[in-house]
Amino acid sequence: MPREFLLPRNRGQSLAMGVFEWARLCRPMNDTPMNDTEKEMTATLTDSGLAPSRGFSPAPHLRRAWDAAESHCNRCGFCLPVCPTYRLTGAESASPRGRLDLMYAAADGKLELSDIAPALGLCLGCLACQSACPSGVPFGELLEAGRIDVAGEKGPAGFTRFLLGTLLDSPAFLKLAARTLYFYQRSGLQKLLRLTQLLRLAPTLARMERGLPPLPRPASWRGQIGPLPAASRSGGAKPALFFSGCVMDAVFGEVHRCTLVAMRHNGYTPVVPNGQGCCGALALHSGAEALAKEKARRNIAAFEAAGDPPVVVNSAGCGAAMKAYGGLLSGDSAWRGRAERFSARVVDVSELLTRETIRPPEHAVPMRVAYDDPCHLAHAQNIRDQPRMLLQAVPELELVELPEADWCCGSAGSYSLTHPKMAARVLERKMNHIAAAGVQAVATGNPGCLFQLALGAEQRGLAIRIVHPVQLLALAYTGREKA
Amino acid sequence: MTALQPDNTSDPPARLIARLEAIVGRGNVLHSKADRFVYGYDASVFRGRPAKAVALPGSTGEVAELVRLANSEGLAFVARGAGTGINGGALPQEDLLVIELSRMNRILEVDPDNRLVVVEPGVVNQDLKLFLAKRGFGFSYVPDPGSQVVSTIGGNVGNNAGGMHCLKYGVTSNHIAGLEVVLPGGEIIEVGGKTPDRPGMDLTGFFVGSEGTLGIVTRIIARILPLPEAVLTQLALFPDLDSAARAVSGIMAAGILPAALELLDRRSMTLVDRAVHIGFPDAAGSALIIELDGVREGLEIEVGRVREICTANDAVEIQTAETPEAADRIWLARRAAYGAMARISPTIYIADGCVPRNRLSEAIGRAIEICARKGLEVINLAHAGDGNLHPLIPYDQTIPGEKEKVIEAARELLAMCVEMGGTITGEHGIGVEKQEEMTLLFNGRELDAMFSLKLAFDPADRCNPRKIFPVAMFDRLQLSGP
Repeated sequence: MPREFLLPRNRGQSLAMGVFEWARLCRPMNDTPMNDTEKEMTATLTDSGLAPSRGFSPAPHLRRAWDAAESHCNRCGFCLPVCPTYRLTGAESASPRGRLDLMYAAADGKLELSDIAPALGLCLGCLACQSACPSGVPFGELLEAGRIDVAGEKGPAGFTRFLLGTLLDSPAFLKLAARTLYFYQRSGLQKLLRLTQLLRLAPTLARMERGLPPLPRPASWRGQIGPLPAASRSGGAKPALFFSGCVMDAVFGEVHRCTLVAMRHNGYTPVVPNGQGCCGALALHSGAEALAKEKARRNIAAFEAAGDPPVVVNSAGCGAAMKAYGGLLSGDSAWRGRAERFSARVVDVSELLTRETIRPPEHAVPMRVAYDDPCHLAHAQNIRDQPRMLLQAVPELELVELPEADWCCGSAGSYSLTHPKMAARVLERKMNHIAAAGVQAVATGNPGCLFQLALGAEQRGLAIRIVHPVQLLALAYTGREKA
Repeated sequence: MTALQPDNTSDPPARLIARLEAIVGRGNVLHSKADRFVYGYDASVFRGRPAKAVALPGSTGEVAELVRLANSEGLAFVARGAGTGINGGALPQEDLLVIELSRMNRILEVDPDNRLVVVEPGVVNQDLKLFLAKRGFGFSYVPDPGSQVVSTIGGNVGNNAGGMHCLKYGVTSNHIAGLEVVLPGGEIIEVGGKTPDRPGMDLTGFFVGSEGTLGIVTRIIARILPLPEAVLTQLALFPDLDSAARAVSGIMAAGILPAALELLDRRSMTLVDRAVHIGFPDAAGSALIIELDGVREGLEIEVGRVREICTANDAVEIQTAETPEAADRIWLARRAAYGAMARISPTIYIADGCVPRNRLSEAIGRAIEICARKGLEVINLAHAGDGNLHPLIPYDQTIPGEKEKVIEAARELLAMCVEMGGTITGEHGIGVEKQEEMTLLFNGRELDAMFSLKLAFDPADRCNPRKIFPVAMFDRLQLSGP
């Protein structure tokens, strides 16, 4: 970890700004966009969609993204039934079609970026609309461009930047935070605080505390890693490079351990290249483009140095972000080719393991399990069957299909922090389906979803385990839960 | 008091918002600049004005109160479902209140004995079908517009929506038994009802297809039909459009009434093949999808006769689906068409017109000529049994003047349909796009007769103002006063 990633250069100013920014970020935003007094809007009878470019746009990223888009919105509305925020509000501005229209208007200067910011903020970014769109409008790319423009030239400031840029890159901090919180939850301290209601003195903190999912026991996984065997390079065992990420690494060590177990049982030799770090997805979702690019370049360089085996990811959000590095760095002539080559190497662990027939596990796991599609696997990467195949390979495991399995659970990166009310409504719908399914476990392959579903189960008092599919597969290979 | 209000889209006054919120609740009034802006579009190529404010009522009573409030403020209003209309029927033509019915989406009653359902207008067409299928009633609501996964029953009623199966089963108006309507003055009335053959005027028929210009439908009694015992799907390929069109006429003349009869031209087939790989042979210049349904025994005989008629009209290949999967495969060619075509260009325009069934092939040929003269490509799909052609025109809206060219071509297409003895819309309504074309179809006396009915319900033209009728009629109204 290079030194400069640990703290921003001007740390005094940044921290002061940070506290302010953090307070702003933590304040629940009103989920219905509010009114403001503005100048007149102009709209003409045939004026729908993007106007021809006049060379200047107040929203340059959006304008570029629109000009690069091969398809434009026909406003057919096929995205409406799959959009969670539209289904829950019935408001056009909370629909994908509405957001696209607002992004057209901002690119053309018909509306201010500040006008469209609340509507873009309310979007979960789940990309269900992209799967449903008959015309193939690249909603995700446009949303990212819109968020970059909304965040402004400098990107998010203060603590958000510090959090996204520095803390997520500090394994030591993340590990400390995960362990502290785990201790807080398991030591009885949480019970005590909740009983005494001491937190009522700090409402913001109290709200965050209530939204804290039950954390898994910290687990070490690096012990599973050996040096890359010399023979593997010439084609014996199959080498694979493992991406460890930030939050996954600190909190879901057990998932990492199980991923490596499953890979080994299928003939892969996992290697963890040095110098890798956070994928940058959360930064990009917050409009911090420069930061995201910085992280992309670092990961590309780290994995290039380790040769050309596949880059294996077990987090849907990270996988989707890294498969899009090519697009992210497309304007950078020195990096474009490298980024595209890197992106082509990225595979989700479920893709890797289903490339060939999965080695049949010996141990039965007689459980009724539902699979919940992470948005960034199903909609962003079109990976739906492979994780189900992992679960179907487990002897005596009964796989249950959830209604609306590919609906967002409301986690959506930092969404549950910025839009707690809407996140809770989306989660409620998901938990209704899960509760009705009568399952012992729900499997899903993304840290945000693992957190969110665990929170949902805890709030309802459901005795359901929330796991990554590879955890059940590893259990079936080894017959035991622990290393 | 009249239709045209000052050109003013500034923020709505706080007093109006407060009164709206008092009716529907705080979270159900939208009035930010962005919120109002997006109600200026629907699925058409046109743009209306931003809404003055948007209210999302939850009940008939709230709709009536909103309408009364709008009247007391001198404000016009428009009801809106999913906004999937392609002719601008839901676009605000002035500074008005949008009454968005998406929250009124409950299925209130299923009455299999009387073969009826009672629903609120915001119920999505497909959701009703899925609900009926899941409960295993053995009945379904039949009208199936292309937008059925999105569009609402209320919107379908407003536009008298059709669909692929309306050849045999009829359009939406054939499936509506009764309505509850909030009139433009705020009164709540019920028309039609569960018992058939009611005396008095057929007001239900009057409201269906009136595009929300006579009142706001708040409850719908719709017919449901038993699922057919058997369904057989055939795909027939012809060397050219003409032979396919002759086969269509032949099938109808033989007294066979298919559930659906869909036509694809060569360009459609190429694009669909590229998208989902059906494997159409190169020799085929057009394709017919024929679906027959009914009692199992009779069906085999009809399938045989359809096969004979197609062969007699030079069909190069006829496939009959032996399994439901094979039928799905055939239907995929039609279902995938819109997506396949929407992807070949940045944007796509859907035209809708009707000609007498036996002139379909001629009409498609002339449509291709009209578009070619303007330098536009056109892809033809048709509900062939109804003579309903749907030329799709791909274009790039970011090229200056391109959209205007498409709109001109569409106007010429409609004029052609009328000249050939057809009409200006098959199933999508008039909205703002075709209001001037109404004069092609109706003379002044006929339009006046219709307009006087509109004014009897809505003398001030506050209810979805300035729609369906030529703009000049509204301007005259404005000069003379109601």
